[in-house]
Amino acid sequence: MNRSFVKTILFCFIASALITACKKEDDTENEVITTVVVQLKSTDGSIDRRFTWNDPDGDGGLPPTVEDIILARNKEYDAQVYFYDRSKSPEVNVTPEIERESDDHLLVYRINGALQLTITPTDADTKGRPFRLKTRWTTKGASTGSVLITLRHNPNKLLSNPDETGSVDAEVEFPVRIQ
Amino acid sequence: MIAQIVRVWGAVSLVFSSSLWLGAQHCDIPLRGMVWDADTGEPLAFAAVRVIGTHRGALTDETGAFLIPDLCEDSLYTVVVSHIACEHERQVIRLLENQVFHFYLRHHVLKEVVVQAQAAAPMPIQALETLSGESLAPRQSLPLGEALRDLAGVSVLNTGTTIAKPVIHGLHSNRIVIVAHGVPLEGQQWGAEHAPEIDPFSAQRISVVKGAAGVRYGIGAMAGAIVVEPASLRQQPGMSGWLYGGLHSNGWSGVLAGSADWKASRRALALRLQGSVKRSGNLRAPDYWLGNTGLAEMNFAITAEGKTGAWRHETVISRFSQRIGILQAAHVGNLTDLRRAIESQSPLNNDNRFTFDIGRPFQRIHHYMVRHRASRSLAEKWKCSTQYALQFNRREEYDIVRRTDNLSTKPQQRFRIWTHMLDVALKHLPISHWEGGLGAQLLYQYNLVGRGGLIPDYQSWGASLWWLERWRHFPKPWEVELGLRADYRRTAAKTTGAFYNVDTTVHFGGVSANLGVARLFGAYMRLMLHTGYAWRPPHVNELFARGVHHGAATYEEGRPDLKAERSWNTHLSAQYRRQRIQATLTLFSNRVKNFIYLDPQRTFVLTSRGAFPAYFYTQADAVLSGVDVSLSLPLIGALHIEGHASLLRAYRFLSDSAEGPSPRDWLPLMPADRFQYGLSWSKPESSASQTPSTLVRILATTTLRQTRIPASGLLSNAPPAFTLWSAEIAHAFRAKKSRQRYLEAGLMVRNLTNVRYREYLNFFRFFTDEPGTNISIWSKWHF
Repeated sequence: MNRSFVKTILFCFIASALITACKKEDDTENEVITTVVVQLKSTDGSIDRRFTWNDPDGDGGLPPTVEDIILARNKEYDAQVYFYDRSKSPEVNVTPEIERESDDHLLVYRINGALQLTITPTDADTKGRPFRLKTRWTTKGASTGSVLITLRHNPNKLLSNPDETGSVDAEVEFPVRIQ
Repeated sequence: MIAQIVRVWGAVSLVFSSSLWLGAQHCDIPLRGMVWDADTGEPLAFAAVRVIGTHRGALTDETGAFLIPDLCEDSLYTVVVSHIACEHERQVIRLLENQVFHFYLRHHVLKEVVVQAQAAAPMPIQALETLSGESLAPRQSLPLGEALRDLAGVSVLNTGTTIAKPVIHGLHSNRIVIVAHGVPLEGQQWGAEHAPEIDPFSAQRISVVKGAAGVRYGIGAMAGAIVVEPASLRQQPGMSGWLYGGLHSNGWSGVLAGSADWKASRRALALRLQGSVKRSGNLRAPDYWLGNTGLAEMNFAITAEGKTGAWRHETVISRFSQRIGILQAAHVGNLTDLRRAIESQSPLNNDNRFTFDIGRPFQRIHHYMVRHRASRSLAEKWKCSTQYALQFNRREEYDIVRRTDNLSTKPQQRFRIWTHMLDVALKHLPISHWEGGLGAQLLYQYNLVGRGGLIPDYQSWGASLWWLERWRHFPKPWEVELGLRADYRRTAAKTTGAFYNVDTTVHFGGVSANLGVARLFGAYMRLMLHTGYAWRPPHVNELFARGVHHGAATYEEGRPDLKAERSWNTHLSAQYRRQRIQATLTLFSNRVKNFIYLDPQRTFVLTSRGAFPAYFYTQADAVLSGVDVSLSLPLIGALHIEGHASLLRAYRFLSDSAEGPSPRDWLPLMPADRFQYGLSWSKPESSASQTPSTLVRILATTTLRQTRIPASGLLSNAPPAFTLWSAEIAHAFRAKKSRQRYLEAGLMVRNLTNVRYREYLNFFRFFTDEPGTNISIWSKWHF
């Protein structure tokens, strides 16, 4: 227990601090959903379109660009929602992971305005509970409004209405026109 | 001045000690001894040694020796040793024949900028609150902020139960300075959810200096400073130390801590090893468990002191590491989630059970510090001291992520900051009754945030010059302190791979100054007037932040053209101390020019998680003023009545462009008025001692509803008033013969009546109640 001991400790300490210090690699894991795409295929196969909600520069900065969803009257569409992280290059498609963890996710659709549209699920999670990544959109007369799509994380699917449980991973609103 | 106060204390102890020495028999024994300079290890000539209550005294000769004849054998005496250049030393001794007593005096020149933790210690001309001894011991196992909660003028900014930041007179984070081991703490203080990386076990005393203290502690000390002072290392050869064990019922947490000092018998080498370990599980509110509020902490510090030639060296190495769980229920994805959480009476998505496990979200923090100080005396009255400190702080934040698989083990945010500080100081002993010093400081800081961070990476360079002088001329009742400091800061901020690009360099310069005047009226009353000017440059987050602040569900954006904040802080403080009566009244007014705050906009920012209310950093002049009162009056015997009050009014002036009938608005998140009242009973350990051996205290704390809140903004909802009861019992068990070894033990109950309440200064008040009853037991064995 003398000065050389203290020096040794000091040396080790500084060395370890500097070694950890010099690692500049960034191994944080920061997923950002910047882009939501709704693919709508009419059941008769005549229409197949993708509508995009896009905010590649993340929160704030430039406002997101949103495409209007345009639907034909009295038609049925098979819809699927895709999620991307376009802040990274190449872009990351987050959808397969959400599908894999379907038990922990839930999509919620809210129709605003006088839109003559009904949305019904066509899928379920691995336990047969709601998931709603894939849905069927049925249109009636010409009308306008919007659809708010919310991706919820860790919802309580045991409840009769799990739509307001868990926390929000993504929430985007598409203007919709049926013509 | 100090000498007069010593006299007052002497008079107090005379009252107590008179009964003891009257009963002794052989009263022809001399008291022999030596007085040493604790800093240089050299004998001190012309030190005054007085035996309280006997009207006897002597001066030391050139060899530091003294002799006071005809005292009584086997009696307890209180000896006060004073020297013009040193702090007085006061010791109780048991006089036996053929003994030589050694007294070690410390210089009190050490009130310099930052270099010495003792800076604020010897009664500065500034309002001061301290925590030490039996008030500190039961609180050492709490986070620093919580430990200081009961001091007048101090409150706590919480993010849940696990993250606590101390607040002085309404200001916190970058507006106060925290000094540990003589080094200002440099981490990520800007964040409200970034608690200070301080182990309260490293302290023997924690002082809260109230008022502008920029000259002593540097940039940012606008509202004050918190000085964590470790005990001095052992002066006499041998070993000593303490062991601490504690348990808290709420969270079933356990704490172990210890410290061992060793001093070589011949050489000037002294060493201390100190460490602490804490582990806690989920806390419990009166009605439910608070899911994921566990904590794990491990800290250590090594201190070594030695001499080579004329130089005196002191090295400190410390490591602080912590893993803290953050209430799961507080995780909200967007504004809708937050609204739902606010509307719900009980927490949503709460993991309502007890566990020691800490899951996401949690924070993992490491703070390392190496500090070396070398000092030597240059001439008869001058001393030179240099200090280099390196701090490395790594903060990792693990959020709840969308991925639920176990692949995600990585943090979502990582901050790493390196801070180098070099201090050089020249201090002098009184020259025509002025004593003080001047010095310079250089700083280099590198902060690496990486992608995805709320703030860009930055590098800072800083330089400071300071000069501090204090006048006192015994026995004149006046005392004056003057200080001046100039700082320069250059910061280069650059984003790497983030969404937006920042590549800017900003420069800030500023002057800090302070003037303090104290006057003693009679023997009991001390009046202090302190006025200080302090400043701080806007922090990188205030300039360049951009992103969603998750806990608050707000979108925050910095403004690159912010100006420096400048504060003019004036305190008037009156202290009355007469035997067992103690009263302190402090009035303060802090005018801050260009006060930076988050201003709610009337717009929302659309993100992929929905719309968030926008808050932009902006600045306006602000005024924070208030009153602190502390009172302790004897009732019957050893029973005292105690009262404390902390009142604060804080508002900002609205800019011309803002509409609204009032030209000013309240500042958000300011502590509500708080009153504490209760009874304490303390039995002094012996007639001569100031430290009680038994302490019993019951205290109620009433916190009013904060009604002075800004008209707009999310935070416009303050919880109702509440009253908490707490009880404390502490006792020191001493072996009759040994003054060194003793056992302290105690019991502390917080929130005695299990009240359901929410604190306005807690960001998580939207989600859960505060914790319920917590019974703590602790013991500390000094050896």
